[in-house]
Amino acid sequence: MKNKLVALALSSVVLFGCSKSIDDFGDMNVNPNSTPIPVTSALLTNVLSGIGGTAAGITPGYYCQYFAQTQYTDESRYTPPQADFDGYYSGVLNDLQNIINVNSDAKYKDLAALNGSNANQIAIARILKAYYYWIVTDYWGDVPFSQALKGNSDIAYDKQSAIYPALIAELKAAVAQFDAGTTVKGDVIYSGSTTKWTKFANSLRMMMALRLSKVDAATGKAEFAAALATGSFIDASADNFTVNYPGGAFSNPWFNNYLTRKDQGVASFVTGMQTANADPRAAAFGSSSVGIPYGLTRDLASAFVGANPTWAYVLPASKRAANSPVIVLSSSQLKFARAEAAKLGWTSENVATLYANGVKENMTDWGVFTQTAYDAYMLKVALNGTDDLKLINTEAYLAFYPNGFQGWSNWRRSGFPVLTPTTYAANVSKQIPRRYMYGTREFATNSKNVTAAAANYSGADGVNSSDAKVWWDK
Amino acid sequence: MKKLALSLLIVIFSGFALLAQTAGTSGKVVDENGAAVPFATVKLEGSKVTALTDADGSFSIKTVGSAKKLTVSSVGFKSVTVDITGKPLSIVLPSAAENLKEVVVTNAFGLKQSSKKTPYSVQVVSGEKLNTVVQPNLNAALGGKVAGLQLRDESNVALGRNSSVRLRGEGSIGGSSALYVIDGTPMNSSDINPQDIESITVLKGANATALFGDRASSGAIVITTKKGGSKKGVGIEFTQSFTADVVYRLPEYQNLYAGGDGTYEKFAWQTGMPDTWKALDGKYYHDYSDDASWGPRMTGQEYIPWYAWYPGTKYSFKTASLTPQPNNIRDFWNTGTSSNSNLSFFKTGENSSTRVSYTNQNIKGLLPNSKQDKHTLFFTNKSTFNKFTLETNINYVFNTVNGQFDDGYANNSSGSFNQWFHRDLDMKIMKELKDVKSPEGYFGSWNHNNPSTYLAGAAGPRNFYAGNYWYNPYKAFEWINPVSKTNRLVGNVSLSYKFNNHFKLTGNVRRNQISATSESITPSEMQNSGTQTGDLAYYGVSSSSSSENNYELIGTYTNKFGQFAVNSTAGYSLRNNKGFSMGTNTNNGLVIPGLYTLSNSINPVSYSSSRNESEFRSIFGTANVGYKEWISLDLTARSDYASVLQKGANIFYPSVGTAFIMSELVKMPTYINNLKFFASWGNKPQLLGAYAFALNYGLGANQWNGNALMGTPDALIDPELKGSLISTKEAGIDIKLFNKLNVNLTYFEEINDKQPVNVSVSGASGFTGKNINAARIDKKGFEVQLNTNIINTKTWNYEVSLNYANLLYNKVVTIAPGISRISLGGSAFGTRGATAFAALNETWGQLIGSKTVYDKGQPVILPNGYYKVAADQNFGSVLPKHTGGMLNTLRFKGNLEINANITYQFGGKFYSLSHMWGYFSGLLAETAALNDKGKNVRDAVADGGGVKVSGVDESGAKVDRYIDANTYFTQFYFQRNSTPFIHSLSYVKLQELSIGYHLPVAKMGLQKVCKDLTVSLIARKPLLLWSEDKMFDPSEISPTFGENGQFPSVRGVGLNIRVTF
Repeated sequence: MKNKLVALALSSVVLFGCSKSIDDFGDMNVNPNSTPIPVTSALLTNVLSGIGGTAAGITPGYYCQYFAQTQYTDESRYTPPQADFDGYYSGVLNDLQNIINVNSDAKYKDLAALNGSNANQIAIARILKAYYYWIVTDYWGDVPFSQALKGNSDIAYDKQSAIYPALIAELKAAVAQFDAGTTVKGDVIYSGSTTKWTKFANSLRMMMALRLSKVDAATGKAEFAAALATGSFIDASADNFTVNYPGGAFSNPWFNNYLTRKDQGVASFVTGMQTANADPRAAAFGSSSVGIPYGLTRDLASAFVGANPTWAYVLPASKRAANSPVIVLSSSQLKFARAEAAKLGWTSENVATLYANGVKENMTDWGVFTQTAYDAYMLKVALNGTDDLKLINTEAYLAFYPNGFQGWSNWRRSGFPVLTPTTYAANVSKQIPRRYMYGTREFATNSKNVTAAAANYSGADGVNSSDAKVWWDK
Repeated sequence: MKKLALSLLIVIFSGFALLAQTAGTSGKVVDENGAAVPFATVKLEGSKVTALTDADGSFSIKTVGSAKKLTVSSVGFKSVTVDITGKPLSIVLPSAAENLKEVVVTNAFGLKQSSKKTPYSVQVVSGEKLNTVVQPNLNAALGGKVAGLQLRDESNVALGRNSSVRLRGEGSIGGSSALYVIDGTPMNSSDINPQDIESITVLKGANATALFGDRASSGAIVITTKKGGSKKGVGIEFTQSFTADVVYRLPEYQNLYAGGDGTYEKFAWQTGMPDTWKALDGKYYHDYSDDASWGPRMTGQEYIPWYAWYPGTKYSFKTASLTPQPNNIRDFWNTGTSSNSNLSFFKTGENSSTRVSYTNQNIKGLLPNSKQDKHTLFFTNKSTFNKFTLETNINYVFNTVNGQFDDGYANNSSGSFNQWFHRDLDMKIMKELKDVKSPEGYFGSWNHNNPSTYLAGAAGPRNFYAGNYWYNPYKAFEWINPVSKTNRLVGNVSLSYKFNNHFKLTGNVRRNQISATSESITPSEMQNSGTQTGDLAYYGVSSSSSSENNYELIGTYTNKFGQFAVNSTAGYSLRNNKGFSMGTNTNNGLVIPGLYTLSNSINPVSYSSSRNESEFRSIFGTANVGYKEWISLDLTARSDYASVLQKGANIFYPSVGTAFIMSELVKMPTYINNLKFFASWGNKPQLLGAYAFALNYGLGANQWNGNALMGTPDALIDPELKGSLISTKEAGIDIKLFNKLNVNLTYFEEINDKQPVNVSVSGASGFTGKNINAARIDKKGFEVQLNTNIINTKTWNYEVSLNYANLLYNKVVTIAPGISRISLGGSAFGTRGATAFAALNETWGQLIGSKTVYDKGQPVILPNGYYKVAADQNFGSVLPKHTGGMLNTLRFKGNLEINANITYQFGGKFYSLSHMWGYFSGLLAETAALNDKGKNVRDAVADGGGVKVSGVDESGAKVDRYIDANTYFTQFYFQRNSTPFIHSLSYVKLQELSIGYHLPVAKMGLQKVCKDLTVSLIARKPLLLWSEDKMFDPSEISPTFGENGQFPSVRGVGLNIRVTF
């Protein structure tokens, strides 16, 4: 009988001792390694830590012949540039959207305000979003925009012709949103200066407006003039959007690029031009003046670099140290945009002054300015009234170096400098790519919409072609 | 309500204990070796009273009236009738056929049942069959021995890996692995010494594994370890084996063309070059810097080999003749040796039995500097005192592996040899010169640069002498030598109290803990001696530990009510899992060369730490009700509460099955010994891991000047997210004929619905994936097991076990709205090659990639001679359709025993990255074959060379043309065309062979020294009897999608000695 009592007692313990709290696990399923609410300043730093990379685009740098490949020459021979844009959206753009969302959410905005006024955080995030969308649409053309970043599916694409005005409007609205509230934390570019962010935003408006020079000159002119009229834009090197890398885990992208590889060097197209004009920037553009012929086959490229051991790396070692800065947008680059706008009759600024100052500031930014060298150089590239657009855009091309994205985009728009496709082109058309092809990921996840968008870009190799031009590319 | 039902169940079973106990006779049934015979039928002669022996062979039976005799029978044994004496009986059953015996099936919580009554297909592998030869891991030892089990073996070059198995195809979108359970304790690994195993029960569907809970979502491999002997006394057994392993299958290489590209350069000495090089002026060399083999034809001509440029050797500044090296790759691999020693001691007394076993596995690997040293200590004890039984099992493993080398793309052995290499390299010289250095101290490489690169000023010597992409492989494996150490302790203590013959209460405490550390170093010389090899001096260390505790309280009740026999359990279990890991490493090289500490990092060190905890509480019950001997009903139910479920949620899942033993109901012809039909159905869950319900924002590993970084997670989470429920139906027949043949046929259907999946979503949403419940996979198949004792004479005994499984259907039925496929992870060189997917309406594991376009059966040829390619094409599934094995045992006079185990599979595909690069780099034989004109394809097209390409153009017109070989063989990379690189997984392999001889100890006068002495000749994986693919060994393909540069297959022969004292 005792046994049976023991059994009963034990069963009761099992039954009641456990059932009381059997489904109560407290906070055990709350992840101890992370936080459920984002820290907005840390999101901002995360975005800005990578923004220098947008000004170090290597593939577009091949297309505009800034660089040539030394061994694996696929890109410089135009193997179809099919690339996913997902990383821009799920990475930086969504972080920026998250900053906007948290600062707008009644539940979290007070917490977020510890990192700067809600309005200022939102405004900076909106400017950066516009910058990134600009890059995405200039690479791919029509892309998701109005329906993007909503955690949704079946995302329709927006026409680039609709995205451009929206981006310009967004930049205007963002600037208007800045208030006198607390300084934004986590801003490793402008330390939360709303003045400098305003200048950056207005400068972006000018750059975007100029892209419309061929497709919609009227809008381009109006928007450019409006931005100029604010009087607040990047007009001196001190206002440049410069990423000052601390080194270490966050190092200059060119430093990282050459850390264990040597895949590319300065193209002979650039070194040739610089040698011919005795450009003092040659010493800043490459490790030597031995440029590599562009777009060779693997055998020929290997043979060239083998036979020319002092071939020019992109930037001399001193300009690509771990803590060397990267300029995303400079006063010099703006000067050439303004010079072209004036030349087109969009503004009444003085073309020659802007042109001359553009060259001077660029040489100064690279630390190679001397009056004599500058004077000699200006004689070689002087405006002549007939070739001015070509000259302005060729100088813009040099001022954008090594920002392949801008160099390639400005070439697509202006046609300058005149580039000859490689004779070893591996694509069907054998022409320089004009856009990135929509990536495979989009075809797997948003098939209906990307297929519809791709149909608008036909080339020698079918739809979704890299031969097809984006809307503003005429 | 469900909770209440279970609670009631417990109360009811407790109540049974109050029932009266009946008096009778008791005893124990053993076989000729003294081992218990469980589940034997004990019948009181002249009555209808029967009883079954329990798992220990013990029984007690009611005695009525005048009955004086008991008859004991069990399949596989001859029946025996004994007198009832009034004292406890000890009954010995003589054996019939070995492989026809009734076996004990072990289910969750160590619950045992006779295979005679199981309502599902089950297969039990004996320790003997498992240890036919010494395999490096348990999974390899299971290959071909269980119907429906697909062994995914791995090359023995890779040390410390455990291979993997798939049971009945794949039911889980992302793939999953079976649960391993040792003496009732769940392990998350198959890391157990096969020699300590008494038997393994393999359970597959939800109908058989529901009681295990969620971790058995793809089946359970239930291990029962060896206990002390069942005969009283003391014994010592010593087993020693030695095996030598050699590389088996390699691709066929071309042996006509040397390394480099097309050029054959004349060296012209220039000012600024070392004077010693003048000796080479005017001589020729092939391009060293290009790591492909599109170089000059090897005709024995004079050339400057790679090593001639380095001073200080007998080859310095001397030319050599450029000759083929057909065996250079095979020559590279060592003969691996492994030694396996096991010493076990066992003692069985009146109330206690103990076994202690120590095993040492010592392996010298096939790669230079790779070795493994593994120690396993196993202790088991079972003691009874009064009504208490205490059982203890403790298993401790300490494993050290040196050189757990990577076998992915661009690894320094096969990844180089099959993907980027020079076919003219002499491996003997390579080995001899592994320490050759330039005057500046750069170690020599076959892939150094061409001489003109020396003239780049101060950077020149390193430019030239250091490896461009590759090191000397012998030096590389000396440099990189990761060390990993693992400690594992798994065991349980279980105490039961037997209230009476009907009711027993057991408490179990189980623990499985593992801690591991690993350390890896990239030496500074390695960084200095490579220019584009990507290696920076490095030091990294990481450690992890995890533990799982299980506490169980289980009540068991058995009784007979008239013709009804009831066997039931109810219990509660609590499982707690904890994990912790941390890792840290240097970045961007080391400040002081050769000093390997974290503080020597150039950039701030990276560090990470992580911890997790989860808990599961379950109530469960089982009931088996038998009516007479011919029908039984099996019920199980389990209800789980877990921290990983949504708050307040619980899941309940039952299983039900019946076994109908027709041969007990109807008088059968004498040749039918047993005829059983069975059918069952069950559910089991597949739960989510910890922390699955919230977006988890983690901090970046480094700060930007004091600013922390945080990124938004890429996976969005459905607020309703939960685990899935797997449902299995199964039916079958089991028949034993002529006391010689046992056939089991099983058909199953399984549905795994609403699986949580991370579906890729358009990044434009702001996220790249979304975790939702959506996917469903359906499986159907049948399995056949056939055991027969073909010959059974005094001299000869031949037994065959055959098993075969046909995976009729393993389809991805739904994924998620608008989603057509989910990547299974892992890919060959980004998206260049075909990759495995769970693709809608296709068999799981579909290989999808770019494929040649065909027009009416003809490949379409583009104007440049390339094949036209279409993206996103199916190449077939990675799952084989037919799997199985055949085990043969031949005995002669009880002294000689030959075992030959064959494993096979048919169907299934894999993608080979090595094949792709082997084309691209001109390494494979096809890249230097003869075309239909008898000219080498590498000869100029104008001279009759080139690869013949036949097909149609885009308008459908016939095309027949010759394409330059380099253009042809590199197009597949450029075009991402996977077509030539899809291989078949079909093979038939002799997995194990052993020829053992029991020495006549008595005749030799050794009976005082030992009881038994057996010497066996063993061979593991000795022979690929047939395979559709001829390039790789399809039985050893590791990544899901296929081959990524992996190590070659290996075969070994050895000797095994077993002495019993």
